[in-house]
Parts: sequence; C-alpha cells; structure tokens
Amino acid sequence: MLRRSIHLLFATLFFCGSVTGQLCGEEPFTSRAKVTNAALVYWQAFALLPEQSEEDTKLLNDLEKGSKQVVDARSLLTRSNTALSLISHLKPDTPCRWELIDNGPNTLLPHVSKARMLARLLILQARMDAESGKTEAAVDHLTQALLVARNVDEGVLVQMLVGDSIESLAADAAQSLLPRLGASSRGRFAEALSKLPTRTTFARAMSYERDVFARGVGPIMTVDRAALRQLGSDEDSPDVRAILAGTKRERTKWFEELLAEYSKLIEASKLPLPEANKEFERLESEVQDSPNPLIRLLMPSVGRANQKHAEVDARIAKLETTLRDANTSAGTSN
Amino acid sequence: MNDDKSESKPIEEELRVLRPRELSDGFIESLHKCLDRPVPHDDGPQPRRGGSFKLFAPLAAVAALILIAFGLVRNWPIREAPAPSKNKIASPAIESPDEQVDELPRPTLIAYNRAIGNEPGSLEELLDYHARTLLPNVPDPDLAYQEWP
Repeated sequence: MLRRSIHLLFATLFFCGSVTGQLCGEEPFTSRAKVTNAALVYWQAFALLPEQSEEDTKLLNDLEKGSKQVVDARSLLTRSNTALSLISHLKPDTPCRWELIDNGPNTLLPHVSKARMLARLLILQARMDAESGKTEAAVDHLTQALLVARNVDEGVLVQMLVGDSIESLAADAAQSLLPRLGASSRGRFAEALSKLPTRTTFARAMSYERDVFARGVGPIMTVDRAALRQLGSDEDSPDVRAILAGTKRERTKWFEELLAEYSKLIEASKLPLPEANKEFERLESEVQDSPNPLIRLLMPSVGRANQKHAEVDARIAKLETTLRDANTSAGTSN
Repeated sequence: MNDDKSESKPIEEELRVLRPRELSDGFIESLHKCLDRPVPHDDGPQPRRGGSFKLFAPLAAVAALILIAFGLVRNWPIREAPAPSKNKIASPAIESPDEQVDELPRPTLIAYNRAIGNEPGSLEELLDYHARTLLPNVPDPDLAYQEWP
C-alpha cells in the first residue's frame, strides 16, 4: 500500500511538473515584465548595434567633447533604432549579471566597449528628442543610459571609468534638458534616478582590483617562467624581462609588495578628495621609481580616475538635488 | 471486374488465415483470476474504482502545493547585488582570432588597466577599437522593428 502511494505521488508530481512547466517555466520567449537578467537583453542589443564607421565614432566622440551638433546623427540613430527599442523596457531593479569568467588579469571584458557605445547612442537619442520637443522620450533615454552605466559597473576599475564617462555625458545632456522640463517630467526624472542601482565607490573598485590580482597573479609568481608569460604579451618590455629573470623568492617578495601598494591605494581613496589627490600623486611617483618590476608593470595610475569619479559623484548628486528642489517648489506653488 | 474478383479471392483467404483466433471463455477467466479482478459481465454493474481516486486526490493536492511553493521561491523578485563571477579558469587565456590579425590588445583587464595608465585618451581609443571590431555589426540592422501592441 505504501509503495503504491509513493508511486502515485511521484506520478502526480511528474504530471503536475510537466503541466506547470508547459504553462510557466518553459515558454520560448520572456515577457517584458519578467526579464530576470538585464545582461542577456543588453547582449541582444549589442548584436543589433549598427556597424560603426570612422564618421560614427567621430560623431560620438564629438558628443563627448560637448558638441551641440546632433543633426548629423539621424542616420546613425535610425540604424540603432532596433537596439535602442529592445532595451527600452528594462527596469532599474532588474538584476544584471554579466557572468564574466574570472581569469585574473587576463579576464575578458568584451561587453564594456559595447555598453559604452549603446549608452552614448541613448544620450545622442535623448539630445535629438529634446531638440524635437519630445522631452518625455528624452528623460526615458537618459534614464536608460544611466542604467547602462550602473549596470556595466560591477566594481572593476575600467568598468567604473566607463560608467563615469557615460554618467558625465548624461549629466551634460540633462543639464541642457532641464529648462525644457515641466514639473511632472522633473518629478518623473527624479523618481527614475532614485530607483537606479547605487554607484560603486572608488575604494571598492580598488579593493576588487587587489583581489583580482591577488587571485590571478599570486599563484603564477612561484611557478615556472613559461607561466609567467601570462603577465603580458609584451615580453620585450624591461619590466616583464626583469620579472622573468627574478628568482622565485624575489618574485614572491615583489608580489607581497604589490598587494601592500594596493592597500595604500585603498586607504588613499577613503580620504577627502584634496588629501586623496595628494596621496595618489605621491604613490604614483613611488610606483614610477619603484625597484619592483611587478609594481611598475601592474599598478594602475588611478589619481586621474579618482578625481573624475569624485567629479561625477558631485554632478549626479547636484542633478538629483536640482530635480528634487524643482519638484518640491512646484508642489509648494501648486 | 471479374478479373479483379478472381485476383482478390486468394488474398482474402490469406488474410483469413492470418486473423487471430478468438480467445476461449476459459482462457479469459483464467487471465482475470491471474490479475485478481472479478470477471466483468455484460448484464451486471461494473465494480467501482472510488478507492484509487480517494487516494489520488490528496496526493495530487500535496504535489500541486509543493510545485506552487517551489515556483514562488524560484521566481521571488529578489534584487541580487551585482558581483563578478568567481568561476575560475585554470588554463591560460585562449588566443582569439583578432589577436592574430591586430596589434591592439584584446579586451582584458590588464590591457584596459595599462591603457588607463597611459596618456589621456588611450582608454577611449582602445574602447572605440573594441566597439568596432568585437562582435562586428551589420551595416544596416534596421529590421523595421515595431513593438507588438
């Protein structure tokens, strides 16, 4: 009797599982409201981006330099329409996992350049929208660009810098858009900004860099010289040659010093900006004159990056405050 | 017509030989005895199967509840903090085709870090290059994409 009941239970579970699977788990397409990983949608959009000519690159770089010229962008934006439409429904709270495969310093980041291009197209589109009086669409495209910036940044230095570059462009575009926005549009923009994922701190990025290099470089410092060639393809560089020529004991010492140097960067990034800038300047000159070839080869020059990150932090905070204040004063006058 | 009939007769006879013989009553009764079931009679009422259904219904309910709970847990809208994958590859990086034909480095962490340390604009130049060359895009991907209402 018991065996029969168990068989019956399994049969029922199998039946119900297959029915529910058919109903909700194995649908071939995902509805817009049920996207569970934004990165997968971004990759589809990357595949649909238009071929970027030299002229297109120049156009997007001019945008970065603050050019107000957007008329020539019509062709590029028409060709980008499919990609931009595809990501228009992504929500700020949709998780974004790029699932990059950890390979130490050789970890591939193929999405960063594509995400940057997608975001710059969104900002260009927002500028075009604003020129044509479509302020609501401009707000939506700017919000999507900022979402790309936050989603591309998983804590690695280059991801953070690309995110900063996008946010800086978006802040420029928002600044010129603000006078054209009504109270309700400002309120909507402020609300959208408040829902975006938070920005990575510079200290966190430095800490993550240290972890990546500790995991990736540490183990190969004590093995044979062939494995050391993973440090870089430019074997002719004096630093790589010096590392290859070092003994295992020397290499272990150099590696420990590298981690200590990273710890100094992390501490410096926690200081107030003026003091941090001074400390970064001192550390960078230390790196240049360092007798340790591993430090000279791998330590990133981050003083400029920290300065830029702090500037973008301030600009976004100012944008949020302006939108919030405008919204509050509009509410008071009403 | 006649020819057809004359040709079809031997076939019918062959088929009749192949047709299975009817089972005897004795064989059917012994089969039912083996299966421990009462012999059905055309004139009598069929035995009720309510016992199996009574057992099946609560089991089905329990199974459905388990599956619903599993579905809820799986689809619960939790925002996970984005974190780089910790999957570790032990083997060295695979040489990509673009490395063989181009001088500029691949989109690796170390390549970008070096570009950050170089003169201003180096990182942007590398990113522009990768945007053009990685996953090369089609000249005109205007698929006349329209959202379905």
